[in-house]
Amino acid sequence: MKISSEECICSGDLCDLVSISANQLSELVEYGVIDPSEGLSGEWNFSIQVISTVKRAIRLQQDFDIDTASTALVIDLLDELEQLRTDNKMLKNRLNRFLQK
Amino acid sequence: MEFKDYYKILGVETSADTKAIKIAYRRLARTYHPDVSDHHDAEDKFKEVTEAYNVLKDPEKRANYDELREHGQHGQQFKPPPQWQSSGKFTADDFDGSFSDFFESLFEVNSESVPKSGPQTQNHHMRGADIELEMPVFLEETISETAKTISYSLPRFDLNGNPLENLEKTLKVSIPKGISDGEVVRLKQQGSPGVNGAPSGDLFIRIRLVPHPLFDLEGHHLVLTLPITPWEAVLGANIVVPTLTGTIRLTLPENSQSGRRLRVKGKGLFGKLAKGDLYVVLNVVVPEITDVDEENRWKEMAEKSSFDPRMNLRTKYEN
Repeated sequence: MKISSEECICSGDLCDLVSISANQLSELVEYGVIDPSEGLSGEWNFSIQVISTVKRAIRLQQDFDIDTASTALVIDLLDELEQLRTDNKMLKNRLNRFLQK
Repeated sequence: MEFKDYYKILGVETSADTKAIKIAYRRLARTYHPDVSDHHDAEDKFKEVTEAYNVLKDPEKRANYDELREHGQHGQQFKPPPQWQSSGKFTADDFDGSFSDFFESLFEVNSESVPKSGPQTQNHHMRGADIELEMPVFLEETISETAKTISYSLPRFDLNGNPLENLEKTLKVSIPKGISDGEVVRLKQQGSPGVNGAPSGDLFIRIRLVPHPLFDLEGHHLVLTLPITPWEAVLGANIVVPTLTGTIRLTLPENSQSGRRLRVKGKGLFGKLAKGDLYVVLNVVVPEITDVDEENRWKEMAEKSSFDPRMNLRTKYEN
């Protein structure tokens, strides 16, 4: 079975898949939680990579009782934290290789 | 069935008011929410905390629970007294997730709106659940299209929403060339089966690149730390170096310092736009002296050499 990470999904299918309204989706785009793959004008299509971000945004909104602006900030910071942890792990690995004979 | 002390789980006194319970929940949610926590058992802890909060925040359910609490102790086996009847009802708005056995034995769950353990679908079509799993991929497997076999379990439910035996599934998938860490691929309708003729859910696979024993990653570039001798560093050398696809010969320039990066074009991973490079980082390793002859050779060099690596320190801080 062939798979691809470059698949796209239209707004309607994305809303159905994650059980949110079109308004909720617009708000997520408006606050920069997700971006349509071909810019903001015209009909929106999204990379399937955004599905997990949308699911995470909905969980955070519900469980922490926060609005979309705060959700966008939390997701940005979590992404940055994950990137920094990955970089830190990689740099520690490289340092260890350097210190080993 | 184990008794759950919801007060203990939230870390509040039995006399705590609703405000204190809410504060305790919010703080624990911040600690254990699976999206923000890196605790190994965050998901289970968060479920437990949410369950406790949903009971204690509601005065009626809390009174109901307090009555039962006199008969049980946290972590110990428990059975509700035979004459006991719950007056608390839960609906989908109260709780989004699965309940513990303890919870289900105490409270009536509104079967029209809340899944007991899965979809409640009497006479309804319901799309199957999406499944998410991680797939480890070796760096070598990203440089050409690779076939991999995955096996996973799918939860299934009957028309009344009762769980059936899991469906075991095996799929052979073809990993596209150049896939990178964290990317998600979707396999349509390969998730849990739908109920009453509804379509199956999807399978989402998140790619996890397995750390390599030799190479580190910088985006789609590879980094190899290459140990070299002091004389190779000074005199230059022609060294055999491993890449992901075999070995190459690398010309080491004269007077190469430790930490110097040499770029081998096109020997990295496939990126979205271009192929990455291999960066070879030199690491000068000093030998341990094992015989007198060798020691004498180093001594001779020490006497004759005018090399001073600390010259900058002296000019800056002395005099």
